[in-house]
Amino acid sequence: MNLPYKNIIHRPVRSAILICLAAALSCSVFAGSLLVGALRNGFASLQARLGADIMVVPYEAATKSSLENILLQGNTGYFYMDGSRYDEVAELDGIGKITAQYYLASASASCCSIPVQIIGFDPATDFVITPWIKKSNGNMPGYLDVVVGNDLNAFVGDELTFYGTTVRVAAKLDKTGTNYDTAVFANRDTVETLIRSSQDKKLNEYGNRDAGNAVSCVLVDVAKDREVEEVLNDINVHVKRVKAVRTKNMISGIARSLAGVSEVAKAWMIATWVLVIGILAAAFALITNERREEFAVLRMVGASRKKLFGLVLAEGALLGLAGSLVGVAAGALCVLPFSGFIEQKLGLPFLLPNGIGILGAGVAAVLLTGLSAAITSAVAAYRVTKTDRIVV
Amino acid sequence: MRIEAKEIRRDFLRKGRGTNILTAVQECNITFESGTLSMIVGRSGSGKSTLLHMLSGVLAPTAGKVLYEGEDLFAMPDERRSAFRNRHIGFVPQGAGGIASLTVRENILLPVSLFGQQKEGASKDATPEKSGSKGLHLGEAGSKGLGFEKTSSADALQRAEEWMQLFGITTLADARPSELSGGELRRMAIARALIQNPEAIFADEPTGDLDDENTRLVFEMLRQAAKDGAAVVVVTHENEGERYADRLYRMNAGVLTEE
Repeated sequence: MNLPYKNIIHRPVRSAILICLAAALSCSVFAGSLLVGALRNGFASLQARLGADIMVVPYEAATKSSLENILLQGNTGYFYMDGSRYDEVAELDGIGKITAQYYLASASASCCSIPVQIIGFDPATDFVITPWIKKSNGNMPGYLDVVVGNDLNAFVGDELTFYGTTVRVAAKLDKTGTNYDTAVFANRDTVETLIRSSQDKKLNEYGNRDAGNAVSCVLVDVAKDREVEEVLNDINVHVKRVKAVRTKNMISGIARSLAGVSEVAKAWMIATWVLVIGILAAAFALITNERREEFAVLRMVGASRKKLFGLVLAEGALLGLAGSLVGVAAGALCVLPFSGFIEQKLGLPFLLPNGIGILGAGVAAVLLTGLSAAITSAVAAYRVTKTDRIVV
Repeated sequence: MRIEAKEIRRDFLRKGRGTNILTAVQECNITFESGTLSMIVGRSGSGKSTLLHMLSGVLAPTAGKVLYEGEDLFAMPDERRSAFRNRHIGFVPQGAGGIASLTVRENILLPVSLFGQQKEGASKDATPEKSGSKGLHLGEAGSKGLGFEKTSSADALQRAEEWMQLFGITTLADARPSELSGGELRRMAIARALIQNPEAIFADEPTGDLDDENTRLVFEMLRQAAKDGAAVVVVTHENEGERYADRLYRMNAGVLTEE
């Protein structure tokens, strides 16, 4: 005889209400964990994608916040400085790794398949994009090849046209949860060709610049024995008309926003937990009080306090388990299909945990809810069973 | 089965009234033997039910001992005392006394089905052989013999069906307690108390909600149970059952006296 199960079935409305409460807690914990996890993942991913200690950009780009617009805000754009700046930076002390990037924004005109940010890199020196492509098991792009971000509707083998020049998709990158997911990557030669095409079509505001001698950004990893700030200052002092920016500082705004959203999510989870625990405790106290006569009968027919306690605990745990499973399912339905929408609304890097991470969050939500329900019912059961006056 | 209450007393602390202590049962000594039906009469609130709860091991006395075959019931750990209660004691409570989520049949079978495993442990404490139980035979009540020494599920089910038939609640076997009248509930509770053929039976106002015919039936069954070897203790505020009693006690303001 499964008395806890029978009690649950016998009072469907009461059980449904308790299950809904547990589900609310579980849903809140699960969805909140996914949200916080996705924001953390997205931020970590962004840090990895920026991948350098220092970014050196044309002075105008830094002052106009063009760099942040492109890399962090998801806007397309481009700026250039003379290629000699790269050599000047490279000659300074304390430079560990150095590479250049080349930006170009495709136009939303008939000359281009899609309006995207095009980022060129030099495979010979790159230490930012290449590891990512390798991790995605993609092929390194050759001349007139591109690698596309995960969110773009283009696949390996597709052909895209930018400023009248046709390129082939050589690889598709793993999702990063950042604006890089909507960017296109190409090697230096390809981007140079594309920049020339844009100039030819009079769709480039730097039409008079020599595309072969232009770089948009120089990325620097500081040598291990040097301080980043020290090298940063050196660059700003010794290289003219550039601005060296510490990447960590560049994303500090995002970090602050992320921390804010995370705190709100955590506060929401805690508030829900406290509220639901309070309601569950009150509900179980009422229910156990209501059933004192039943408990007395069970005692009379030979139920020990431990047995009685176990029966009440089992009922609470069963309700908690059922509610937590419903809550996790509801949470999954709320978050997983709408992650793109959430990312868009939050305007922050957003990368959902992988399958194991999601499963872990689900298990944690189930355990927390099941335990909370079991403990609140156990407290109510203890109050009833501790007294020797359970008599009819 | 010899049940002895030695100098038992029960106090209750009245909440909200300072340290005012109510002594529900004054210190008393009483012995119940197998084969006798003892009746305790008295007004409501005189302490009868409290005494019965102490004697049956449900409520611990403030002072004194309750001995079953010389063994102190309240010296046993709760687990063992509960198992003992399950196997050797039948209790008919004063209230409705049904588990709402169970059917009438399941309620009657509750001591068997819910604590079947516990019963095995209990047999070490007090075996039917040790207590000299002979099983119930309800000759006068018109039933065939329902005695059984070792309860299997099938036996218990069969026995439950027979009790329900005897009490006229067979048609309610699958009903829930909420669908039963007070009298039907009382008959269900009596059947549950007797299902394991206990050696000690405590009945708290067992005929409170019953009509004359069922009242007579209940007293005859309890009388028969005593005749078959059980120690039966009935608490009532009515005088009707006195003629069935071997020994009569009166409870007045917590003081027990034999008449």
